[in-house]
Amino acid sequence: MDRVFGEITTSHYVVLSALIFAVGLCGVVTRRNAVVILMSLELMLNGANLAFVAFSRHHANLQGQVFVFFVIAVAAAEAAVALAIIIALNRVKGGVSIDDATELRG
Amino acid sequence: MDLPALGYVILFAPLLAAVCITLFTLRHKAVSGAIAVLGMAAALGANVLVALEVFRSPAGFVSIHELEWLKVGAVTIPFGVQLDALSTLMALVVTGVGLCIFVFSLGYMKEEEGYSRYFACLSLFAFSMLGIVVSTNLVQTFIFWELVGVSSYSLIGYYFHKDSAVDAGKKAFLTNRIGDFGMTWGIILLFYTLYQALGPDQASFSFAKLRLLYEDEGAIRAVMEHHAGTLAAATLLIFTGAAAKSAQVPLHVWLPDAMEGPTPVSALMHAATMVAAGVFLVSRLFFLFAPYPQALAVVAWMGGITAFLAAALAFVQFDIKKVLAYSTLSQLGYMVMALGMGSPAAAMFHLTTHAFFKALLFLGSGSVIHGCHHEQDMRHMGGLAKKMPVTFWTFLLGTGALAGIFPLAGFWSKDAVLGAAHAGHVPGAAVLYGMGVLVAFMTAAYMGRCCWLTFAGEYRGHAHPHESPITMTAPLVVLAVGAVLGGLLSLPAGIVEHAGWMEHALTGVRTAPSWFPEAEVEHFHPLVAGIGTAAAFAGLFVAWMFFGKRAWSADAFVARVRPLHTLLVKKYYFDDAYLWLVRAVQQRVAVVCDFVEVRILRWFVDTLAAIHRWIGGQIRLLLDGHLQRYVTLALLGVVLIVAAVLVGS
Repeated sequence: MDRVFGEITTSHYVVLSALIFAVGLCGVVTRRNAVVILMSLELMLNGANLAFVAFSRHHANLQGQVFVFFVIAVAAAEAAVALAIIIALNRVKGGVSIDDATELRG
Repeated sequence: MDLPALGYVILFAPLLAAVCITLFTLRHKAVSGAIAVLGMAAALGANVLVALEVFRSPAGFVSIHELEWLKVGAVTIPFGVQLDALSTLMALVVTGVGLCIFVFSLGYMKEEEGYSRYFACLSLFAFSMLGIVVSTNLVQTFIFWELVGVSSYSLIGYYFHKDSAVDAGKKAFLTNRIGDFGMTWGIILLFYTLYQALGPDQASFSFAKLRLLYEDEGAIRAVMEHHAGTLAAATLLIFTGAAAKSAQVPLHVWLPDAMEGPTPVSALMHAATMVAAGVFLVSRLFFLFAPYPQALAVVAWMGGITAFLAAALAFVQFDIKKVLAYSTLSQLGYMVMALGMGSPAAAMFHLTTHAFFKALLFLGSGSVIHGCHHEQDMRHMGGLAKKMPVTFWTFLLGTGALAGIFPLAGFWSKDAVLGAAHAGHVPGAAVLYGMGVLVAFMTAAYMGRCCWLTFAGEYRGHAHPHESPITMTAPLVVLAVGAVLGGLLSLPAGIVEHAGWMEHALTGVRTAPSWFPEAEVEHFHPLVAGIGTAAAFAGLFVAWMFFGKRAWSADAFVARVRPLHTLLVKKYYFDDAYLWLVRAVQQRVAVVCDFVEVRILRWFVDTLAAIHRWIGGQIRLLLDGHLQRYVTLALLGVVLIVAAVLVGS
């Protein structure tokens, strides 16, 4: 396999992480469905996680991996809160399109 | 417990009471009163322990405990307690007389609204006053000095639904502020001068260090060589603060008006404590005044003039409290005169005895007012001797003490003051001594008038006077004991050889530098005492002829000296002069300031605000509530920042 693709270096991981992050960001900015936005958000977090792990291996330092666990825990909590909000949104507005929720105006 | 701890108990017990009442017991009258009395009793108890320790120690004993509070550059401003003969004696006056007044208030204020507020304010006032007393340095003193101003403002304006009370509170506060302004500059100037002359190591706000500095006559003379004017100015500026608090002419106008407050407040602040603060401060800082005969002369003359002018005013008052107010002014004048004559010991002695008998007289007048259903006009009293026997007899003792009748407390302290005036070296000391004797005569006369009008003859009012409850008469009796025996504190040499620790209490008050010649007041002077007593009896005789026997007619006498009477009724036109000053000068300056502020400064600020409001209004359009737009904007911001950083590097 190595012959075909060459060695997988840290750069590869970082580029992949950036791509995942960018995909997530695009989702957050462009999609209208709140559930999809939540999923995109998770994607962004995982992009960041990948970068952590990549650098952790690169520097032979476990701190980055430890940090990832924290991010996963926070992401789980965030998902719980966000889903609750989405359910509430569904009840109030009768849908999960965030174009309907524009009360936060300046 | 050691001394500093007891000192902190004295200081903070009343504050604790005030805080407890304000936070927890505003709705529970009885509890509030009990807490306030307990706080004061704790302070008094601690004080007695301190006194036992301090007065047993050799003269000049001082215990100082300081915490570092502020550090500005090389200057440290501490906060602490200083316990020596002077502060212990003064604190005993404040807590002892204060406790009597607190207990008296329990009965006197029973039917008042805001009973708890009253006791909270009273406790706060006691805290502020004790803060001045135990203070270790000028800055701490100044802080508590202002606190006294604030708490007295709230107590004078206690009946805040009455315009006159509110005005009186304001007047007291503003007049005191004028003095305090001078005091601020005095403190700064003093420190600055010493800093310039001696460097940061020697310059200090601390009383003990300043005192030590002034002990070295050579060094101080050297400083005075180059900074004579500024040091004298600083001293006199500090004295303006003392003069305002101790209500000396021309800053006396607030005190008579302050009688708008409840009578126990008048007793506490305008007899025993607040007005005594000025005398106390000058005693504490007497070493500053000692090297300047001119400054001492100013002090002595200010006191003498105040004593005389105020005594004259007392004759034309019909409000029983106003008579006592002017009497207080006059007696404060005595004390300040004694200070100017170089005898802080005599001043502090008179302050102590005066606190007892004047608080007694004020509380007695409060009892009379309470008994006559809030009638204060002596023309509507009379014949109360039979209806209020306890009040009458204690009031009589207070009057005797104030008039200086042997052997009551006032006799000894007045003799000490007159003795100091007699031996003084101030320019015109003989004139001042003559004025002092005249004032002794006048004091006896107006107090005689007050007594006969109030207690003798037939009742002329429409209420049903009755004796006051025990909570009010008990403090009267306690204070009467003080008014009778207070003289024992400092029996003059020549009468007794050793009067024990009590005399020691006042000899410890010597605050001049050791190289300064102490005024000779310790020796009993039969001639001075005789003349003083003769003046007092002459005064009583005149009052008796006018108001007791009614052999002479007061009305006919007034008709003969009509212009003088008008002058007195108008209070020498001091109030009118100040009013004119405010209207003609201050008001015009205010108009100009108003124009500058409203038309120029506010226009500038308003325009600035309008520009920002417009920009904000434009930006607002972007924020329409779509979360995704916010995210996009934030992203754009991040991109811009990153771009800027990249371009920059």
